[in-house]
Amino acid sequence: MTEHELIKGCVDDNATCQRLLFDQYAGKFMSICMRYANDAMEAEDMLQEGFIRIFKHMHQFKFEGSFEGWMRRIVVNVALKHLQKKRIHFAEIKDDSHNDPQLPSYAYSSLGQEELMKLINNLPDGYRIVFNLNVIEGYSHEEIAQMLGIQASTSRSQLVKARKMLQSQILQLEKIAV
Amino acid sequence: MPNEINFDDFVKNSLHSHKSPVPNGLWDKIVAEKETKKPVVFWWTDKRWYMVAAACLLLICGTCFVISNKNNSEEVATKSQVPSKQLKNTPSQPSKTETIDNNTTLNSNDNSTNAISSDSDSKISETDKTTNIGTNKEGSVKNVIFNTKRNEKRSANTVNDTQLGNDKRQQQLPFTQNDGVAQDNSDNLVSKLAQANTVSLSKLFNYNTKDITSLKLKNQNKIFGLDCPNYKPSTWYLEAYGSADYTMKNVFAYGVSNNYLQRIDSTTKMSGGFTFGLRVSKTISDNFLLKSGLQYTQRNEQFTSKSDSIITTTSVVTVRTIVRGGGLSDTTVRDTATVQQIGYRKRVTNNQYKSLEIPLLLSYENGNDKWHYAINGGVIANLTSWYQGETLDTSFQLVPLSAKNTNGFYKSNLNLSLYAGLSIIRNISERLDIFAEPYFRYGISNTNTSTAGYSQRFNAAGLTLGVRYKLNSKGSGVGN
Repeated sequence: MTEHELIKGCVDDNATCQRLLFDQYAGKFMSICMRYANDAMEAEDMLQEGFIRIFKHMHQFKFEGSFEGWMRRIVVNVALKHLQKKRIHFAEIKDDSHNDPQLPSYAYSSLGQEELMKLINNLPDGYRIVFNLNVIEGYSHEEIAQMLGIQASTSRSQLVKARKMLQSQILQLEKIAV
Repeated sequence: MPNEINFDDFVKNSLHSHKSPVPNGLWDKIVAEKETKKPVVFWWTDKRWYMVAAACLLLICGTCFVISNKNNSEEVATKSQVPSKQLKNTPSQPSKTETIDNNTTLNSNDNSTNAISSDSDSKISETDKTTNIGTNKEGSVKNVIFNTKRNEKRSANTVNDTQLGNDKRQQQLPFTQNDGVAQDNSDNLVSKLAQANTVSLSKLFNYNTKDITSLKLKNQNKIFGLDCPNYKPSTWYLEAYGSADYTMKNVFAYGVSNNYLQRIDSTTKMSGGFTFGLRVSKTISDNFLLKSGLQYTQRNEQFTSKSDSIITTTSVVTVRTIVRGGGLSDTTVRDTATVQQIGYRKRVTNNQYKSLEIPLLLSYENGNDKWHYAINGGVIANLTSWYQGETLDTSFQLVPLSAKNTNGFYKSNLNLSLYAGLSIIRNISERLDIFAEPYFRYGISNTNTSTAGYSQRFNAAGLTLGVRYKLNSKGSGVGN
């Protein structure tokens, strides 16, 4: 079954097509939700609502651009909506330290996906959201600012801090491993 | 900078297509929710719709109140026109000696100011001379009806007068001596009554039979000879109810850092609540009731504390055996290594906010024999509140909360909440009703003390289910 046929089937509310779509993308989207949620239960709720929305708004897909990208955007929006209910504050944390960790590529190249996921999940909410949106989903700071209702400069500073914290965690892991 | 780009690319390449295991049964949940989810649920998730619903409720309440007031004022106006209002008449022209067809002459006092009072004392007075007639209400009614007859007779006279070509002023004369008034009262009194009513009665009669009807209706409401307009014994109800609440929390900072508030926000999640109680209702008019009682409310909150940088040290012992040939014995080597893992510890606590409260509500109720609807609004006053669970202090340390010790975080009295609800009531038997009441409750007071550095307020929406028992059988019910 081609992607086009799959989409048409989902628009027609065909349960088989919907199940196929779910099987094909649920793992990827669960990974997205896991990066935004605080725990697996919350991620499950996000994914559930995400798929409901995808099926509900499937007819709005105009076959322009990537279908997976369109669905990812819905899932990310659902995740953000969940988080907005918790009123996440994007605090400007002043950090005057100039000893930024210089992370050589070999330090992180051996990191597995699961370890990386854990490290990202350990970031504070604000850091984690901006890091996910910018680095993994590829949204610009202006887009992030609009999505989260914050300043673009806040998004930039959150990203810098997130990256720094992530790198220092990786360095710490390296030291332990050594 | 290149370092950052490389790092970002590495993360993106690693995680962009990463797949996580999907929980079992998720597809079934999606199918179930897809089938049961209705659009109406969708818009209730938006806060703006709550505002619209509240505005509609307010509008309905206002309209009902205005309509009710209008009905009452019309009723009052009807009552006041004849029986209780003093009609003072000052004839603009003095009456003159009039001649009727039977040549009977009636003398009226010039420039007299007369007043007819038909209140409970039924006084008939004049400026120069006051005559009290000790009639009761029936007498009053009788007089008015009697006078109406006079009016009819007068009309007959008018026709006669016109035929006789008399002056128009003659037509305004209400009484003639042979009308029979003298049979009820003394001649003198009738004469004065006739004089007094020369103008006032003509005005009075303009109020027509509607007024008289209202008077007749009033007479039906006599109890022990006293006039009690629209008297209905109050109906008392006892209501027992319980509700499942969806609680929402608003947190505001006024002293603590954003970081702390963010932590408080991210560690807590409201997980519903419930309310149950008893209240007594009393009818205060045909459609309005006052309700008050005692209720217990509990709000539940899930508090998740995460202890960062928890280091777990694991010792790993590796045993290797070196096999040596040539008849030499094997050598066993034991290596002991220590592995440290940094992680976090998660702990979930159920926080409970408990309150004893007094609802004070005004209710507008209407409907038919079987079904009623009611719009309720008012305040809920908090008597006392106590807590159980854990929270974080400003140094992110866990602080236990208990009924006796709130560690300066929470108030023991939360003052007032505003309440609005819409009831649907089904009559089950002569005395018993059941009702369902969707409601919204808005907290106007903080739960925290000023030392906490932040304030939180609770709003709630829910569905109350209950039974209502009519306490007195004499009460005529409400809204029928």
